Amino acid sequence: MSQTAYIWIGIVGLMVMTIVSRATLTLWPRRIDLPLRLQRALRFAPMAAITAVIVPSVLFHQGELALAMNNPKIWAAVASLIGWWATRHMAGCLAAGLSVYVIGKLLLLS
Amino acid sequence: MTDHPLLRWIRQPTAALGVREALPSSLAMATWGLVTGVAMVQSGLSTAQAIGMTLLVYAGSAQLTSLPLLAASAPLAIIWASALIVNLRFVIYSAAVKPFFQRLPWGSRLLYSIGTVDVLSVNFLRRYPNPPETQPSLLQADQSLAVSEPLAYFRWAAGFNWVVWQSSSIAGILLAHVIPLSWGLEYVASLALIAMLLPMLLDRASLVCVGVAAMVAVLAVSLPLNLGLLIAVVAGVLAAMLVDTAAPSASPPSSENQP
Repeated sequence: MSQTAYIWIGIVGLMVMTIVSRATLTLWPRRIDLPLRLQRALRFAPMAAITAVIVPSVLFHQGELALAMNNPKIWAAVASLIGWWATRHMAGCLAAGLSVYVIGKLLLLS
Repeated sequence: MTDHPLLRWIRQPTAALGVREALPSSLAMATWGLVTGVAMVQSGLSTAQAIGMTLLVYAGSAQLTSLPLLAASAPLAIIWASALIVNLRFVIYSAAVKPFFQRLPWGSRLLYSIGTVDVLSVNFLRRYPNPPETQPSLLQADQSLAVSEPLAYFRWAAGFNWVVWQSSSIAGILLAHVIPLSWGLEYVASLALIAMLLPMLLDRASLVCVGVAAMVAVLAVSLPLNLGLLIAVVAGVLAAMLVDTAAPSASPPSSENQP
């Protein structure tokens, strides 16, 4: 299989995974009766998922825990928290995180 | 004339509400899309492949997960399995939104489902925390009326998110050749996600959920195929369930302090 064909087949398979994960339950012909308490708890799932994507990317570098002071990612994450707390605005949060990350990259050379 | 989409939109206030609530996160989403676009090209995809991927797959985290694997020519089964595990959180969201889609025809349900992305799920489920079936007093006709407002909200927010994601992602693909690899742009995607996450943390249950999910994600980071993500989501949701005082208990809903 050529590299081009490999990537296209990979992409089509990934599309199938998107549809399988997002549409299997909603296209299921029957009603699915989850307990109300569980249905309400499911609204916490997105924030848990986003957290689980973010936290390892902040704390790990190439598979190793990177808690050193010269890890600009940690400083940028802390700056995001402060930016959100100070401005209560998503743009303020993003601006604080981005600027500290850029400065950190330049100063800490990592 | 009376059927002009703009007029229909103005008459359907929840549609405008959906877009308005999607607006704050669109900056972070556009940043994430841009980074994903750049990452696709810099990991070796051609422009056509990268545009094909963003249009067909439309799942940022699964795309970012699969890129290093594709670049390393990993077996396709491994790539798909790992994307599926990253995507399993969407199964959880779709369980939550399914009651709202129940009466739609098959094709519409498919389109709505593909639009069920992270930020929209959060906003939608906060706006409509109770599934429509929990109003047994309503007649059949009123039942469909009860979902038409949430559906308008969902449709417009989903369309808006799709446009923001695809345009920023394609911009990233086209700009990829002028952005050096050494900028460490992947991490900007995480900063964008942090900016999306923080406004969601409105109550104690959310904080507990995120705290537990963070700890479990770190402890389970070395598990293969990104299984750690799934375990962290389950742990976070269970923890939130335990402290979520607003949730009705198993007793009849009427005995609880419902709005």
